[in-house]
Amino acid sequence: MAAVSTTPRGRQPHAADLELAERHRYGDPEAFAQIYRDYETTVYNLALRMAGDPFDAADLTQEVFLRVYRHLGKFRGRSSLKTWIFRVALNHCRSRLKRRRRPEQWPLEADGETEQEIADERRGPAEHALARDARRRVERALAQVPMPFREAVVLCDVEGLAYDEIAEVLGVRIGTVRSRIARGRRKLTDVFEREQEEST
Amino acid sequence: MSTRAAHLDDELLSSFLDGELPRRQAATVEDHLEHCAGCRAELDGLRRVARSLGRLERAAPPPLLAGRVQRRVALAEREPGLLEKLEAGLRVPRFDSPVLVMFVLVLALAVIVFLFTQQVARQQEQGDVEIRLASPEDVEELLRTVEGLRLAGRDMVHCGAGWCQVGTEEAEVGARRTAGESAGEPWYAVLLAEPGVEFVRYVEEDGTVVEVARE
Repeated sequence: MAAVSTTPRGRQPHAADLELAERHRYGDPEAFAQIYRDYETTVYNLALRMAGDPFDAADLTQEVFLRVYRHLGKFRGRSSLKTWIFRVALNHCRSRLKRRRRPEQWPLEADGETEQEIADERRGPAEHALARDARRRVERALAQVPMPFREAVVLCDVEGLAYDEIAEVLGVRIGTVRSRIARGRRKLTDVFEREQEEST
Repeated sequence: MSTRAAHLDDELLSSFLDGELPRRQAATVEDHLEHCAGCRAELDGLRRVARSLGRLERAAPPPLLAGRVQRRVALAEREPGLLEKLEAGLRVPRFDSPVLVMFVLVLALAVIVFLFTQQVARQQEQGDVEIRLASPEDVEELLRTVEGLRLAGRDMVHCGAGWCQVGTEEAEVGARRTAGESAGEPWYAVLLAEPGVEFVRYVEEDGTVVEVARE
């Protein structure tokens, strides 16, 4: 899971995030560097789940961070930095992918050389292979979920955001978040069941 | 909500799974689940899906990505992009008040209606016409029609693949037909000339303005 900005008890909400933005505004390069370290993997994985292609995901990540760099000075702490970055990333991916006009789908067989899991030293090669197969199976299923439901499900189940945070990122009401997550999960359940039937 | 009589829907189960229901509603759902094997199975299915997503391995970003971002940021620092300049120039004020939003919308609508009526009036006054053409036969037909009309010359005619626009100005015109090919597609054109002018102009498919000396 990605590093998440914390709000120590008793401090103003998002004060730590505001402080980072402030430091960036005053030209402290370490502020942006810290944000990049904290969110690089999160943004890259979000872009990967949206674009379905590691090369596009890398391009999108680069562009998202450029936007973050340019607009971080305008961050006013109305939301957490985490939801703000998710919103910037999601909006940018949506607009870029719309322009690209390619079908929304994952490569059927992701190239293991271009897409690597974060190394887990405790695992052996066989476990790695099993985990990779499981991941591809889930990603293929995810690709069949319409984009609005996919976004909500990914933010909830993969990124671990609460409903109110998802509502903030997507700019919709909590009721809409509820409905999108439920419909996305239903679609995934159907896909898994269909796969199960086909394999037996 | 009667949770005993019917099965729970996906939305309720899904929100319950995420701990996103108010306490009282969650208690009602728990009560229902105790007595309903079907809903328990549904909940298990949703839980399996959520878990399989939660266990998704995170892909590692390419190792060179951080360097690429650093370079882009360094470039951006040196010079603001064209987009940023445009953004700065075109920044729209925030409208927080609904009354203000309504006022702006009504004003915009009024301006659009005014401009539209002005345009219609101008077209009626000037007699602008737009004629769609699909074939050389249509060109011939147009030529017969426009001979002797009082037509606009300023930008004359745009006759390309399938359409022709004729404006009006107080002048007699003569006309001749022409045709050509653009990107493998034939186009048909009519050149309309005003007496007393040396050149007539028409616009190619690619937007090039071509001037032709009068014969």
